[in-house]
Amino acid sequence: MAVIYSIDFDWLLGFFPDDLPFVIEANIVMTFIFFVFAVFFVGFIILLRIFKNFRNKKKEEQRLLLEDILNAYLFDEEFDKERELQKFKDEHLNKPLEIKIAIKEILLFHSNIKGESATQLRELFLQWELDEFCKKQLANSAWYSKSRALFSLSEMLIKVELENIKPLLNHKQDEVRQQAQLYFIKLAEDNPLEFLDHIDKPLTLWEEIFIEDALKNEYHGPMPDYSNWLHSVQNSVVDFAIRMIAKFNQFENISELLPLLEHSCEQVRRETIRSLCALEHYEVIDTLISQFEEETNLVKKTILDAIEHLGSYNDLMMLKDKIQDNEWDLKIKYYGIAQYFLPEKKQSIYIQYEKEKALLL
Amino acid sequence: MKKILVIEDNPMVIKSLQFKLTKDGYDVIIAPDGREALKLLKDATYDLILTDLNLPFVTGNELIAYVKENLPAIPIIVLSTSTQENIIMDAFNMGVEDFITKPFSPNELSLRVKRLLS
Amino acid sequence: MSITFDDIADIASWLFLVYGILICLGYLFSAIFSIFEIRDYKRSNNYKDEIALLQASELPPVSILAPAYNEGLNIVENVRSLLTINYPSFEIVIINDGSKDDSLERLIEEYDLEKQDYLFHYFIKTQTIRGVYKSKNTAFKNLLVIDKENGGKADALNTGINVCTHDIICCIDVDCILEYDAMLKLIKPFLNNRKKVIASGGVIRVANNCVIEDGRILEVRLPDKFVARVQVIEYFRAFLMGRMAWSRVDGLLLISGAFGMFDKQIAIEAGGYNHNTVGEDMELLVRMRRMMREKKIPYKVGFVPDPLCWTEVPQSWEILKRQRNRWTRGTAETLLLHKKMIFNPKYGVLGMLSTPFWLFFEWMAPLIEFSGSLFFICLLWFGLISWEFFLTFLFVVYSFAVLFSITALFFEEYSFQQYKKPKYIFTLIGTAFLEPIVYHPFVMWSAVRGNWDLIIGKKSWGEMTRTGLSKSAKK
Repeated sequence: MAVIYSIDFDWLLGFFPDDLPFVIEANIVMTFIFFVFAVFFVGFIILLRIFKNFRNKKKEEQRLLLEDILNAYLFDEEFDKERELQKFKDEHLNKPLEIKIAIKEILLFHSNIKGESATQLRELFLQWELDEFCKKQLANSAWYSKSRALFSLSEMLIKVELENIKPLLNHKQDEVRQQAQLYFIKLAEDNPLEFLDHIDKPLTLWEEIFIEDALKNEYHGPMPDYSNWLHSVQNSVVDFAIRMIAKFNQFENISELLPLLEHSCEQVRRETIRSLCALEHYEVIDTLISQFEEETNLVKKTILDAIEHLGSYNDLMMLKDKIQDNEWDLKIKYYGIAQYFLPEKKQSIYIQYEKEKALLL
Repeated sequence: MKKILVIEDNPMVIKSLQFKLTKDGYDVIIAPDGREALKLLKDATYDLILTDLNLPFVTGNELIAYVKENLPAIPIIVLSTSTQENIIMDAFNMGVEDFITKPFSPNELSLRVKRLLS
Repeated sequence: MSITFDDIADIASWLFLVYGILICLGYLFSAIFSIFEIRDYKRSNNYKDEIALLQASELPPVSILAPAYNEGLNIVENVRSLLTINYPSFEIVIINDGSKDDSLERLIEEYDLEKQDYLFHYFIKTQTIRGVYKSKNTAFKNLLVIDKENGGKADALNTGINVCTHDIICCIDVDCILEYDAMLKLIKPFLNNRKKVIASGGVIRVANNCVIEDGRILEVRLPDKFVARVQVIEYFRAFLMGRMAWSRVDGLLLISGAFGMFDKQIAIEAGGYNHNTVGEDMELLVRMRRMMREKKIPYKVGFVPDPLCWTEVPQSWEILKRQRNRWTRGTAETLLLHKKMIFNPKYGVLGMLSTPFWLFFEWMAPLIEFSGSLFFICLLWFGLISWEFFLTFLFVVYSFAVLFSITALFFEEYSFQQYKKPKYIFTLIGTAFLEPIVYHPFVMWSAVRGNWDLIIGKKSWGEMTRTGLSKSAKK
């Protein structure tokens, strides 16, 4: 308070009697300061509101203009491309806000459309020189400019010096890292996952969802052999590779998957079981049954799922005595699967479970 | 003029579809959600329905079920972001005539519409 | 050496002052942390249409647990709106907590339910389950209704945890209104983290007066009633400033019972909801965090700043009083149960920052304020009051309270700007100026009463009489 007090508030205190004690003077000064701030914020709120409204109006106007010209450009055969597009560029693509909205709108169109029209949109992007703006943004030190620029460039399939992008794979901001990954996939002609060898942090599920999506929908080269990453140092990468082997039906990699049933990481073992299941590798059931007892609870559950999917009631029976008395979650699963195999005995299996419950509790 | 009912909640897609299909010479009527669509279907007849699956209020599946039961003559094209097999299978099992995944090619869509309406 | 009454009065005055300054500093820091958190969040969220992609992806399946006690009035509609939740794979588990009304019958009739021989186990001890129901209609195949003996909200949620199938659970109040993509947003922390995520929570907003149709917010409106309007500001302060800041330093202690996601296994290991406290939502999170810390497993609690869930707040003073009474007891009970954590460096941010903050500023603030008022009356009695001091001090407190609310309003404007009509913003500013005089003393008194009830051992949860949101607020 001493600091504040040393600022000259004499003029304020001049309104009050001269000989006020320190505490009271301090109170008056504090009240004054708080009120000034409050009024300041009220003013700020109102200004912000006016500014936002103004900006939103601008945005909406620009957006509507763009919608019209983009639709005409894509679908109207009589549209005079050369003249109209140049005119639009001269009149409506001068300020950064206008350019940003144009980029956003083209990306939005592009995300909903494929084929010839999508190619046309990418041509337009270059014709309006929006790529220049993005490249400048990429060089900007703010992470959100970088990641946005990466996103726009990759969507529009615009090549930049890969050496500039590589370091961004390990950028400290998640968003930049993710956009860099996607850039590599979308622009790759082959080997889209080469970047996986260069990342220094585990992949998150979130990133994996986007990578998978990009591989499916935006990468058009030959599908990579995912077994290349089954021995990566990153368990998350191994995990992802296992899942992709199943997703893209790489049956030829089944033999590569089998040793991973012994992997030290629980998650990797589970994913391996799931993928073998999805690839309908029936032979794995015996191995799973023999490994059951040594496994962790989560892997045991996955094994039960696998038996439901690939096995038979007889396979399931083999596990009955391997489930411990206190493993209730496994028991429930066990009986549930038994009901699935023998739907006509649903009720008697339920009674059996209830009996076992009564016996043990 | 053939009438197409477009049920879609993405304004950008609506506008493009409207533009493209109007150019192709159809009368395009828009319903932004499933409930609105049901209302429109009760009041007038249409030659084709183009619908999304993830719709507010009334889902695409409910809508399809309604049309197939009450207005079986109207062909349905689903336009959806879903690429999951089971969702596509479900739609065909319910009797839709065609399934187009987003992102879509407007030219292809236009051809498929033409095929169903000729 | 003798100490005179004057000395005591002096010391006490200074203590109150120091406490006041500490509170101000606490709030100042939380404001600063929040603004950074909001800014970063805003910046990170405008790329690809995530929602469309997530809808079509294989996300971890979620069990949505909604306890219901005497909700017959709206239960059928509420369940219908839950069933249209936008998420690729989920089940709805309605737990009928021994309702005395016809909730169960209504559900059975509307959704064509039949009793099932359902395999389950009491992983957490709860009241007896009378029956588990599923629908004969495949359109409702992901609906599960549990009928059980009454045991309170915590017990009902535990029952849900015992019976549900998926590994992630989402606990919600059956009558709250979820945003269309609420679940997809709430799951994001679980997906996008390199540490084990044990829970995630979102922002709760006030639904009173909003235009609601078929379980969707169509138009955000400001409540007509002053009591509810103040709570809009309170929620801004609590979520946009409080929790946002706590999330930045990873010190969140509370995920609202109205809408939160948890890792089921961790929740079971921690022992589930505690039915001996009225603050079961806070207590569970604290216990889960404590357990993870004690086991030395790195973990994270996620927080999503978007408004995800809208809930009806008390419109009458009487119900508000009961609610605050309960909140106070919940806080006190939780802190008491976990007193070992307070100022314990072993628990990191939780021990050194979160729990002390809750102790001193959440739980004790009303008590200190109350004793301050008593102290003032004493001084008045002995004729020792210095009116200049008293009045100026009052002004300081008042102006700070107003400033704090205005800052929260500013954060709302800066971030989500849900109250779009210009008139709303002025009404809210006006409300902020009135709150410290009209509303605050009442809430303080309710909190004091809560502590008193806790001491004399009153355990009532305080039934919330609802006005039936989905009906009353229709256009």
